[in-house]
Amino acid sequence: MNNLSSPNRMPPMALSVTDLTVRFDSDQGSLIAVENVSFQLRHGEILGVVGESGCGKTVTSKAILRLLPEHFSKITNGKIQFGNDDLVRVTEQRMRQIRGAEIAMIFQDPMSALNPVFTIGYQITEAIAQHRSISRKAQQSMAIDMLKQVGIPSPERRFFDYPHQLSGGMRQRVMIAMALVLNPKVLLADEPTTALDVTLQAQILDLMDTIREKHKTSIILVTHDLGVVAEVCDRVVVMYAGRVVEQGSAVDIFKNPRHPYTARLMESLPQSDRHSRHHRLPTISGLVPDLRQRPAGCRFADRCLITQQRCVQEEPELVSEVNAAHETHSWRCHYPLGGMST
Amino acid sequence: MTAYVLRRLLHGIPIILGVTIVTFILFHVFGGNPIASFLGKNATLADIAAMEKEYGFDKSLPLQYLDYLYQIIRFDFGRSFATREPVVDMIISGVGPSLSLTLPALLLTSLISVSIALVSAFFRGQLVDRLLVFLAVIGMSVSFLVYIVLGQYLLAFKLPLFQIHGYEAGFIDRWQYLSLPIIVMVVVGTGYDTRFYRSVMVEETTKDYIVTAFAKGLSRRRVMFVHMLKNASLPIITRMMISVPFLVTGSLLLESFFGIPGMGNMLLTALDQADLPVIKAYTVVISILFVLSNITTDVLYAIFDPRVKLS
Amino acid sequence: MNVVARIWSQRSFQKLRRNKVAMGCLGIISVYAIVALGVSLGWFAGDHDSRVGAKYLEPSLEHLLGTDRQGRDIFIRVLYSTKVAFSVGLVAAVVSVFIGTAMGSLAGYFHGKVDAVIVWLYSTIQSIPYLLLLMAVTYIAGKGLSGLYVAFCATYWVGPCRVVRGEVLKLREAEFVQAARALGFGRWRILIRHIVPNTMHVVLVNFALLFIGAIKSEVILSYLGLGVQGEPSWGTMIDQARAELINGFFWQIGGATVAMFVLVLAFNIFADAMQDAFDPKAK
Ligand SMILES: Nc1ncnc2c1ncn2[C@@H]1O[C@H](COP(=O)(O)OP(=O)(O)OP(=O)(O)O)[C@@H](O)[C@H]1O
Ligand code: SF4
Ligand SMILES: [Mg+2]
Repeated sequence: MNNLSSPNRMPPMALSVTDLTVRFDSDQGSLIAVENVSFQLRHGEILGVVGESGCGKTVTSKAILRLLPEHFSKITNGKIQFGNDDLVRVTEQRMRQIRGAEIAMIFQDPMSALNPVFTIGYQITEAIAQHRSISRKAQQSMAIDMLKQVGIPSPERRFFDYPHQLSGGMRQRVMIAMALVLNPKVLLADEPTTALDVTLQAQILDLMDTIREKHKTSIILVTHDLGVVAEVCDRVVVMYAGRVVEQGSAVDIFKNPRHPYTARLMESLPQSDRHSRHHRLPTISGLVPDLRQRPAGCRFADRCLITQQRCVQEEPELVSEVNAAHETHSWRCHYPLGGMST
Repeated sequence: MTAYVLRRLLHGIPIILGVTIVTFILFHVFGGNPIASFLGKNATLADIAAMEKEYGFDKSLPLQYLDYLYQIIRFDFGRSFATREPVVDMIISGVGPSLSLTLPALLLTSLISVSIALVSAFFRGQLVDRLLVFLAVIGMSVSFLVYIVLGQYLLAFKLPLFQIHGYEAGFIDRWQYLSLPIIVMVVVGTGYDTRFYRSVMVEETTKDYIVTAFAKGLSRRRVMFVHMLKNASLPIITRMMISVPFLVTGSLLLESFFGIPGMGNMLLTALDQADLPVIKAYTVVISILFVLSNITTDVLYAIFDPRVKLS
Repeated sequence: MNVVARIWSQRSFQKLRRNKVAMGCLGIISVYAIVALGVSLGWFAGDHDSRVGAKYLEPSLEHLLGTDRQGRDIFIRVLYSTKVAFSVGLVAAVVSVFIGTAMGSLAGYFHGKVDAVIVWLYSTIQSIPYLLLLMAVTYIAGKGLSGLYVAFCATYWVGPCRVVRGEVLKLREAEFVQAARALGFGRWRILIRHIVPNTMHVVLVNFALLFIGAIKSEVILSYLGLGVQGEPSWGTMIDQARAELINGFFWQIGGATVAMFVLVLAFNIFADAMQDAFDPKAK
């Protein structure tokens, strides 16, 4: 107890999200995009977040930095513990200190995420200038150094390029350089490789892995791609229709999925390919429920193969189990699969 | 760049030719005998014949059209039916008053509308924004003529702040006559421009790079005034450039209402008197300006937007 | 199901129908339309030109907006002008939208020479100041309503033509068009049955904008002496009222201005709502 409240002790988690709930309001009424989402990011790990399109992955990661459109979305509940701050409640001023410097984010589409009318050098040094009062020269050399680290050839020249002059892979490297230039503790990567072709995907993933090793950055890696998860993630969060439905170590999730949704995702991967890269999330028959009309029971009920009466009536609670390696594995299902095997 | 501009100029030629054809057909073919309509009912056949000869209207239509083209190339449009002055001189003396009216009006309108639009976009969705948008729509829904009539009544008649009507050529003296029409022009234009600029800005604020900028920890002010505004400046410049020809055309309505001897007034008088040489010259000059300003806009675009390459 | 019903049932129209402000505006527009219809069927306002009392009467129950310089009932003239406004607006908008859509779809769909000619034509018309063109055409076609119709139709088709051409250029490459092509449908059938109905949303917005434009231009042309002759319109009323202002008589300009303002405002808001509802980017 004492230890926990002492400010000098390193917090046990790099980032800890508890019961995060986000609501969107629009002309057509409001919807809860993300509901009671909880997960923890450990120091130096890569945490994968997977789920079908629209399940709330992007909303979750943007909510962490409070980057959701302010006039029609609201974090209605929850806590995001980062060091001594609860990011849901800190002042905008403190939030701005954190953004870019302590928690950085990279986005799916590097073309639209970079401002087309500024040079990449300007965009990177702007981030530095925002958080450090150092000379222009120093900012520049920091930026160029970072560009070199992410593998941009002749960074001194590229510094003056505009985004459209770079290839897709280069742009994503620039995004990564911009995110990492201040050596943040946490990196939120929202589908960083989705817009890239296969070879580039591999290079960018290797780069992220290297960065994690070198700078001890903790990374949340949002992805569609189970191959990516298998490749680099230590632990995995599976989301479905705005909820976390299963969470555990990558090994548990792949070898011993308990939630029928996770299992279906895994099954539809051919066995031999299960560990290869670039596997888009397989398609499962049926549609994600409309978030405006949430069912009373389990959200997966109308697509699940083993639905029972209870599933439709009552939403399952999150159940946890600690495995032999002392890893927590949790799921949200009345009739979880397997359990014996490991 | 030079090659590009040259090619664009070449592409402009068919449009200018088109304008000459339309004007020529409208007035020479459908408009009846221009000299007869100018001289009116009481003219004798001899009068008409004499004037037709003087203006070359006794030639065949194709020859007259060629004459017209030749005039354009020499930039000499002959003399007005009514005043007998060289048309080019009339145009030159009309441009000054027109510009004194339209240029300040354009600059003020743009400045005011861009500022209001920025405020609106900055507070997007909030009460201030909704109020400003609503005011803009209201402003757009009132007739131009009502603005003029009420402006004249309230600001020049009831509160004698400005002159109701007239013009003096002195550079200082002219403003007491021009202020009111400028105000009216600004008020009329602000509603439209504000809405246009706001929607451009709001469109920009939904782009991904805005989120990236916020994710770097930048302030809202910096994101809006540096990142958003620089992107939004392209459509803003375009809209301003597109109005440049209209600076020279002047404002038909305001000039005639307030008695300002500009291009608009000149055209109205010419139309009224069937003063064909003036009408033809005016149309061509404006269309040339139009083509030129389109080209300039594209060149400016290329200068401001690194993505655009002129080829 | 016919094309119109299919489009009306689409989501964007549902969104439009749920927008209460927009529906209120549509209601206002309908009231004006009914008045216009009533006038043209001779139900009322037939006596717009007769002297009904002394001049410059203040409003009373008998003459809701008082009387003008010639002792004519202003309210009746305002009502009658609604008919003129609707005639001008409807004719201008319907004909221009029709011509514009036809030209725009031809230009967009057939590319090549057809496109070049149509683009050249509208670029030319665009480079002539619009008021000059309007005035030239009314000058030739004769003053009065028919002159106005010709003038508006000759100039206003450019707007819808440009946007429809743009839409058609996009739609040509759309999957459902490729599919129709693969099924062996003829070019005209594809254009008329598959492409043109899908430009309806921009056409409708343009219709509203042209309607407003025509009503507003009528006022200006009336002031310039090229407008409606021999019958009242909001433009001629505002023009006449200038002289009355000096005597401190506001009812004529007030009546005409407010009547026109409410209609134009309703149309503006409705056009906005349509644009919103049809915006493919908004969900
Ligand atoms: N700007 C918004 N306005 C309204 N609703 C939104 C908005 N952004 C997201 N949502 C809602 O939140 C839900 C989750 O969206 P989110 O972008 O987080 O999905 P995602 O898991 O990132 O999907 P993808 O894999 O396609 O990126 C969506 O289904 C959508 O209904
Ligand atoms: S709770 Fe029932 S419906 Fe939901 S996943 Fe488990 S078994 Fe399937
Ligand atoms: Mg996403």
